[in-house]
Amino acid sequence: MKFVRKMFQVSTAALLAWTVAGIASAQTTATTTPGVPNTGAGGDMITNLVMLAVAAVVVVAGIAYLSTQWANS
Amino acid sequence: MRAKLRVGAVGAVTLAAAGVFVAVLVHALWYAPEGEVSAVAPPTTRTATSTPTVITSAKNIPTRLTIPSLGIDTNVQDVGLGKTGNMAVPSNYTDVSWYRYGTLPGQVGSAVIDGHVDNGFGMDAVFKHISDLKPGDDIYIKTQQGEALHFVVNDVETYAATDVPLQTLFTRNDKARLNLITCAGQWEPDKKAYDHRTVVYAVLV
Repeated sequence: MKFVRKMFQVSTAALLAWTVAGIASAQTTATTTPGVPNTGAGGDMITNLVMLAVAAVVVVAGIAYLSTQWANS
Repeated sequence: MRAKLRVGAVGAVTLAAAGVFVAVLVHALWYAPEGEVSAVAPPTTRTATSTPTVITSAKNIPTRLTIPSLGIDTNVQDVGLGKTGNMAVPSNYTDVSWYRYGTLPGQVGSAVIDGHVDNGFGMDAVFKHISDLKPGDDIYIKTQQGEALHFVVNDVETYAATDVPLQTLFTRNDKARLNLITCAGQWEPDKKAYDHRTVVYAVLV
């Protein structure tokens, strides 16, 4: 029984110390400077061009189809 | 009936595609805002030796950046932190942005301004050529108060993105400094970012 009580005391003390250390650590390591900005977008060029081309093809095809339907009606 | 439904569906798809076309074009060429974190307390506490920056008047904030040797004369936005804790960027490719939680240009400390190197089609953006600046080149900042501040370049460095000396960039407090930063190097598709950064260090004269 004494052993269990001792274990509980030690565990509680350790948990308390760990909590205090964690709080202290969180306070001292708080962000003081931002990270570097991401100031480029050129790498998305291919993706952007493909999206533009696909969208343009769909728009042109859609307009062509709608024009045909309108002319036939 | 079926033909009408088909026409309606094709019309909807055509409209959606037109919307995508316009959105991609605008985002790649003109307007690319980065979501900012608004609920985060600004990092006003620097190092033990630093003086916390207090922006006392909106009139002191920078409004215009001019670099005669590069033909740059542009609007200055103010930004805070991006979602990943990085300094946020201007909402377009022609303006630059000043880090509002840092130092005001002209005060002792490091005022930081960033700008894009290219747009979504790989075309030159405002800071494309800042790596061409040399020690002795002039940089001017105009404040909302109408004050004109004259800085002179004293160093230009390119670092790996993970090796940028953040303390030197943001919190060096020995003089009134102006630091410009932009992207450089190779594009990393997985990070959707360039792997280097060019920093221009200037001091007030």
